[in-house]
Amino acid sequence: MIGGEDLAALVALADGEPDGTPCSERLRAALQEAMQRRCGANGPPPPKLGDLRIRREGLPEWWTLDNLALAAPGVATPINCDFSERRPSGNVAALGAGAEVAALSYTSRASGGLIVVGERVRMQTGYLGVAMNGTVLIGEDCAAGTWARLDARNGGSIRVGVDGLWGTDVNLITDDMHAIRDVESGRRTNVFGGRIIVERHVWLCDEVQLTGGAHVGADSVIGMGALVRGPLPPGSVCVGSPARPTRRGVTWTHDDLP
Amino acid sequence: MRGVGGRVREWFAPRAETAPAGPLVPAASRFLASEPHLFAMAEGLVEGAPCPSDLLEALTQLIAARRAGTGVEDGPLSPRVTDLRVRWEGLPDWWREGGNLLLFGEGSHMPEFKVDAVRGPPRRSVVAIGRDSRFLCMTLGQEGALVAIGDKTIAPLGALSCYGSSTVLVGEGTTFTSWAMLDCRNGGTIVTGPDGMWAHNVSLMTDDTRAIRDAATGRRLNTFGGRIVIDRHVWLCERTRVLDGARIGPDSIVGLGALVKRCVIPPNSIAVGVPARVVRSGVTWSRKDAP
Repeated sequence: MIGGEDLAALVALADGEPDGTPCSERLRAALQEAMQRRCGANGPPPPKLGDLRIRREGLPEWWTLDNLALAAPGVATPINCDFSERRPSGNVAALGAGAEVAALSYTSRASGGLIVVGERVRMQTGYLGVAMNGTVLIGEDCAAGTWARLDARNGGSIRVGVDGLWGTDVNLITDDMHAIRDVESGRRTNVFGGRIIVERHVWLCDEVQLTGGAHVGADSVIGMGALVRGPLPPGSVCVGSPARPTRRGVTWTHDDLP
Repeated sequence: MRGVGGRVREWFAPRAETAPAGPLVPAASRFLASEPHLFAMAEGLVEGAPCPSDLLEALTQLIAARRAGTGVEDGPLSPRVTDLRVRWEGLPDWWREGGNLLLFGEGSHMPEFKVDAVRGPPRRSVVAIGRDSRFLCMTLGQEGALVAIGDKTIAPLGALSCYGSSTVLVGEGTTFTSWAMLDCRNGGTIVTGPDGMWAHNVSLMTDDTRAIRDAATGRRLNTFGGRIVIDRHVWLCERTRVLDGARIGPDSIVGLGALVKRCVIPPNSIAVGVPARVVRSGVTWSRKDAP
């Protein structure tokens, strides 16, 4: 279980720095370390950290108290929270140059949430959400159609490699958000936290759903409406619910040529 | 025997990056020959002028030619479009400059025409809509697209894309509950018969819009410019997805959320699931919800 202390240290490092201050080497190294620590050895490398500046202006007041936003110049940081209980705290969000995301979404009491969006990522509708030490790392040049929904909570993580292509209504949700329990023992039977890994250059077609435990190999194509709950091999076409590989040894390209 | 764990370790073992062998993008792309110049026949006509018989004849031939090979060409010509009138007003400048032609009848609405940012405005394309029809939005691009929507086809939230020698023919009397998306590109064809009933959020796509290739040879594996044929009186339930190679017989029903791809659904059947399978035969349906 990942604690949120790594991010609390990051927020403290930037304390008192005004809007637009370039990210110090120390802050950059701490962010890199936090990403590495949350990634572990598997999966795609975390997004590259380019020109990041401390962002204060235009953000809600509660956010600036003890959360930290870093963004390349000109990149919007649409922090979004509808808190009713306690305001989110100890969260860090970083958006690379040219990134366009619709919303960075926090639940009440969200803390220790890390969102890092690589350069030129385009996700113009939908949201990236974290709660309770969740991690969302999106590699460079990923592009989504309308309404992509990412949610990492309870120490769960979503990590996406570079050059992904997502259709409409793609959902990546690490955890069911509510417990299903064995009546006798009270033990939780569904995943708590959970990890989603999507390697580089993966095409998720319309209405694909990934749950905790999903690990999609590089160059693969996940067909329309598929539900992915476990590992799928690289270079494959996978379809169905749950998704199964139906073809191996493939890749895909952005062109639509014969 | 290796367990799942062994396979997973093999799939995700670190390996050297290797470039795929062979060219991934073949040099030439296939596009069909573009239209006979229907635009030239209509150029001298004023806004709202009834379609002259030679133009109507040329349009009929064009629809018949584009339907050829789909297996429905022996039936009555569909879509039935009556009372066509030439329309110039209210269209963007690029419409007439590109030699595009719009015809629609009394009681029909002008669709909103959009331009695809990559493909640019259409050229030498034809859109014909019968009378008392409604279709919300059309995005045309490249050269030689043909869209024909029959009489009394109501698609208040229908969105259609048709690029480069592709053909969309929607039969008369088809009704869309709300949102529907039709995407036809790379010389693909969508032909749907009359009297269809399409529930909310139906999508038809002739092509995956990106290429899937054999990693070793570079050969394209998914369809390029596919074909969708839906016969008369077919009920597509909510969230039905109809993709390339789908052929749905008359009087059939496709169930909620089903996906039809490279598949033939015989007449009078119910097909459900992903991918769709026939679960019942010998049925028909009616719009009336009576016991």
